[in-house]
Amino acid sequence: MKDWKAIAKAGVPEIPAGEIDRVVGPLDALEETFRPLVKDLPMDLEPALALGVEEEGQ
Amino acid sequence: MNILEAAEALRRRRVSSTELTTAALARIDRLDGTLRAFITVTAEAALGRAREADSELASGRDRGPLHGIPMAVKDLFSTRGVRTTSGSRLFESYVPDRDAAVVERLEAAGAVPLGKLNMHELAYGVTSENPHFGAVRNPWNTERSPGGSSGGAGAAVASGMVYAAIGSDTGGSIRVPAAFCGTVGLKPTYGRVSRYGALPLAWSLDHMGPLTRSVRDAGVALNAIAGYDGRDPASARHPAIDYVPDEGCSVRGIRIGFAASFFERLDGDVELCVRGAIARAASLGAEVKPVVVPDLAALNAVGRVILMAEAASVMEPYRERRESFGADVLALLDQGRAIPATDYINAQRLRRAMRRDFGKVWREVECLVVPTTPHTAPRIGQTTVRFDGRDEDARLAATRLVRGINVLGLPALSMPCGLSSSGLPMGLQIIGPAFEEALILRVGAALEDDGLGLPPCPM
Repeated sequence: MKDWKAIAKAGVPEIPAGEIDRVVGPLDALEETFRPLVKDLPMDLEPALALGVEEEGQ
Repeated sequence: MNILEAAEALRRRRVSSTELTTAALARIDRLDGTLRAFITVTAEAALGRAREADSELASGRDRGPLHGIPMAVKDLFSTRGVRTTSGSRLFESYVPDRDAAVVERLEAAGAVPLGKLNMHELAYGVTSENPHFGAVRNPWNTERSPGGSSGGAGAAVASGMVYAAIGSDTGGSIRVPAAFCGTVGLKPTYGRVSRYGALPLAWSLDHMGPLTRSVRDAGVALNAIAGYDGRDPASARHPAIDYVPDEGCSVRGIRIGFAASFFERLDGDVELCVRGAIARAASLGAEVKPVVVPDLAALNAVGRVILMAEAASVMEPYRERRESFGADVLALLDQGRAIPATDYINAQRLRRAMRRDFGKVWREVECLVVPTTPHTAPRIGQTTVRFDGRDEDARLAATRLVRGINVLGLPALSMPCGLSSSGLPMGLQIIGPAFEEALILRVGAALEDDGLGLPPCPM
């Protein structure tokens, strides 16, 4: 499991110390559901990001 | 009176647009001190537009059923020359120099815009307790939340201030207020309605759509705002059709699925009501069958990762202005900033797999009928709801049955299906395959024609 408190402190240094638990609590909870989902993703599964290259005329 | 009834009255000269607009403005004047549904009311411009509509109709120019009908849009749609706050202190003085696509299309359809509707700050939440413009209240019980983020839209439609409103839905923000306020709310397929000129919350999850007093009115509104727009990179070229269900439409022979996972941890009244509506559909000739859908909790987790990362990216230019955000929105933005790029990309990979898996459902049934929210409107300020002896975060509970549909980009209709024992509206959600708005509206209209709905709102 990720250490969200350390990640948040490093990546979002502007979070006041007194608010850090309120910020990372939901991330800890989300992690419990999300992490097992990504554990065994096949390498050929690409993200569903859409880039309308044709529409841009390139 | 709904849009189609008002449209007929206008054409029979039983009423004028000026009279409809004057009555709507009087209602706003009387009720909005309590409901806080509007951020800006454009009374003078509305009356001018109503007079134009009357003049055009009198001279034989008929723009269709929205011509002369008082409406309003959520305050995240840009309106030329009219302040557009997005419910945020950041934009409290922002006056756009152009209209959003839906505003252009409503104008072309002859609608009379009454103003800009209150909302959850930046559309990032489901309470509409806006710290800058006041908490929106539910017309069925003013101690209750209207839901959000399109809470002003729900309250304005339910209380009869407007005939219809346009909202946005990134994780349930049209359907939740529709369910809590007892209106119809339609989240169309991703790309069906242009997002041009609307403040983004999360680009790949944002959908625009109407809240109305009846299912057919939602079709009328969708007819006006649907269609390709080259200014929106996600706009779909799929042809727009007539979405208004025929009079006497039927569900006979339609294969309707119900998924057990949507019926877990529900308020007893909601479960009874939705199961009753499904039985009603069966009695009208629909083929109702149970189906298994992909894991809702997984869909929701993927949706939240995508939402938090994209919303933090949208708001990156304002990162230094922490004092300008409400506490709940600031916490969500901070969470989004902490999410690593790999998690965001993995969420988008999972999204592709989930879309593929969910697509298999449409081999078995043509639509799903499920609850919109697991409970009725919570009290304003309520932070948890209780199911089966366990507390659940109120924001997560309210979006538990709707958020995943944004991940999939599918069309979903919320319609009222009854009042709870405490006198609050309950919502039914009809979900269909991509671009099958006409089908889900037809199922909704058939149920509405058979009597599914609510008594008049007490306010």
